[in-house]
Amino acid sequence: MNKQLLIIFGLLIVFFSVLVGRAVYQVMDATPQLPKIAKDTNTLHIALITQELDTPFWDRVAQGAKQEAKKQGVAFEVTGAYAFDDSAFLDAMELAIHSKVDGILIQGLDNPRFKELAQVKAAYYGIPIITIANDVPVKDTLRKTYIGTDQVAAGQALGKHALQTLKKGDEVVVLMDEAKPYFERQRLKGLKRAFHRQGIEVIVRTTGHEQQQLVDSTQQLLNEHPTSDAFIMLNANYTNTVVQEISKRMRLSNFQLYTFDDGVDAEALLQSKKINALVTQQPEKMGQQGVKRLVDWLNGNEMPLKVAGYFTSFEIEEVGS
Amino acid sequence: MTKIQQKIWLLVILAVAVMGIIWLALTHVTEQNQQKSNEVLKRYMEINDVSQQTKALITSLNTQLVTPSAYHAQQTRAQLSKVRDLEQELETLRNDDNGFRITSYRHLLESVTDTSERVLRLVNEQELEEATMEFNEATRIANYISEMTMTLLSEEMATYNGFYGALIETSEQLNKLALFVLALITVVLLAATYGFSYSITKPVDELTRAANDLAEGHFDRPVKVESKDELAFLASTFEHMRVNINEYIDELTQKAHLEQELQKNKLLLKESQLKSLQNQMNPHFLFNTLNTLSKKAYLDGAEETSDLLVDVAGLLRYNLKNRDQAVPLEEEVAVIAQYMAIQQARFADRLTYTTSIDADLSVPIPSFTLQPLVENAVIHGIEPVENGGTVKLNIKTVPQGLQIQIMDDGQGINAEQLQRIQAPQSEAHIGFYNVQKRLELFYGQTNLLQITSSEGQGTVVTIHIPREERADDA
Repeated sequence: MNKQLLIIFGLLIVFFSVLVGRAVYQVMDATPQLPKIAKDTNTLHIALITQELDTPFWDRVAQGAKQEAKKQGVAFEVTGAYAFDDSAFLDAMELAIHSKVDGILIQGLDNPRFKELAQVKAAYYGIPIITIANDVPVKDTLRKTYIGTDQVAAGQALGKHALQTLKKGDEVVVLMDEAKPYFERQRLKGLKRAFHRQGIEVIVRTTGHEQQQLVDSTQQLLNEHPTSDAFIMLNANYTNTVVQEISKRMRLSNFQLYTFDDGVDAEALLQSKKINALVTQQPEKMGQQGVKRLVDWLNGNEMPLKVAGYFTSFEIEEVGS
Repeated sequence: MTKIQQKIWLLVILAVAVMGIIWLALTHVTEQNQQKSNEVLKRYMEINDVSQQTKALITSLNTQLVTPSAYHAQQTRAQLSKVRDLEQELETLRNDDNGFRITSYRHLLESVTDTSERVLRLVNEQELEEATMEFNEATRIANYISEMTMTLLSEEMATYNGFYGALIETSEQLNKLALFVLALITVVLLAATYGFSYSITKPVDELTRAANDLAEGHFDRPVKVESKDELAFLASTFEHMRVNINEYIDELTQKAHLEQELQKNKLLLKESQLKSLQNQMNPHFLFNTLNTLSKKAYLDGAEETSDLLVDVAGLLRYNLKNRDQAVPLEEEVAVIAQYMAIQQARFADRLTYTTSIDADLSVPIPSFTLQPLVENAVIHGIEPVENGGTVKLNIKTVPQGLQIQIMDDGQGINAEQLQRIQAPQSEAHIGFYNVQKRLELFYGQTNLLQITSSEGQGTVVTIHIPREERADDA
């Protein structure tokens, strides 16, 4: 037989065998696998519902909660709305209630439908509600407890901090939402406590949370109180717009600016020294504590929960600190 | 089945089997993937069905609310149980990714069925206002269900995204695999076909060459075929035939050779006959005349002459009778005696003839074997010598048969002449050669006749008659 031809045949056979083998392996490798059907493990289902999905503050809350949920072995989901869409937020809440989750951690919303849902629907299905970060009055909602910053204390601390630079007779403008949500009222309460009998004039202004409303409110404020010494934004989300509007017209350093950290840009504004100080809270801790207490309560380990709530710590963060 | 047929079947079966296996494997993989993707589709449809059935439930409920009737109540209950069944089936959709969602989904369905049931009950109890409120609630939940259906579907899509990617990749890889397998099969089949055809054509080539060799008359080249099938058998048969033909041809050649020799000898004999015929005009007339002369000589008192004439007549008769047949040795000896008597009459005292016979003389020998030799001894040996000599005929038994010796003490033959006698170049001096050839032909052996001579000493011619050879013919 022709030796050359034999060698060529042999080489070709080996070559294609290798290719075929590799292709077989690749086919096996690529063969799709369906996710396995899982059993209903009867684990607890807990939902965290917020009005501010995908914001740094709430992401941190969710992260803390998720970690704790994983540790506790309970099913956990974050739902809610984006950018204070109350209707979507309440729908999410109603959906969670109809879905009969075992417990709800929720950003409190001072709103009649919220109260109705919490008081009637959730109670009907026997679903415990724990407010987190932002509280609502317990008598309207029958919430089990609140976990987050003691807003009165935080407001008071911020006020005290402001007093370090403020003098008698100084004017302080406090900006709050026109809906006057419970947590803002709490903060204001703290502030007022701090400024009590300090000879500080506190001007409280409400505003709508739409961008244009905010711009208008700020401009009006600057017109009416051009000589005010400090701005305190009870709602941290206003800070950026207010800072922009002020800087359009006068020097930022004319004012002391204070706010809280549960707004989108608060931290960045502090870093760039556009605001003087803010209250930093512990969102991870809130999420973690929320899940832990809820699970404990559901398992009957901790009963009853403190109605006043469990406060997480906070601190005042200054420029350069 | 024959070997070649087996080979062909094996090759075909191999090819078919390989293709079959590959086809089965490819079909299997494809079918599996098809099944899986069907499963996924079924999930989608099941999820979608939940939404559809819930909507149908709400529609049915609405009808019952607006126009209550036993029939509509019945319809709604049927729809309700359908949704309940669906809710149970949802459990099969649960996996590690969507556990939470499925639980919620089931609970939502539970909520909608519970609420719907309340609506039915309230309608039944004529509490229409409350029923409407509950119905609105059910509608809202149904909306949540269809929303969640969308969410679930999109999550399913995300979950099975990888699956579809893998599906597409698998089919791509399968295409590649099929291509490679095709190439491999092609090469293997080419190789197998090459080997197979080679295993057939090579022996055929060898056979063809061998046949050509035979056709050209080269019968001595062996047919060699390295194969284990029918062709090997063919080749060995062919080889056998070649050997047979070769032997046959050898035999034929030998026979032809022999025939030729025989022909040659016949010619020689004819020649000697002619010669003797030339020498004798009318032998029968001469024979009769010799007998008459013998009687006359006897009557005239010349007894010696009469005897001589009888001898001549006997010699002549023998000559006429026994030209080319075997005769018993004794007849030949008798003829020699007569011949010698005649020669003695001629040479008188110069020629002596003695015999010494110690054997069975019935052994057949070709006629005129001894006579030419004795004649040579007398004419070429004794005659030239002035004082004459003796011619001796010795016959004795030896282990190989008989030994006949014709000796004379005449002048002898020199070496050159001896050579010429044994292998004559011309028509002359063929007597000795003639005898030698005839003996060889008769007994089928060579070296039966030997001649030794030395000049002046005489000549000895020895004939060996093999034992028992041709005994049956005698």
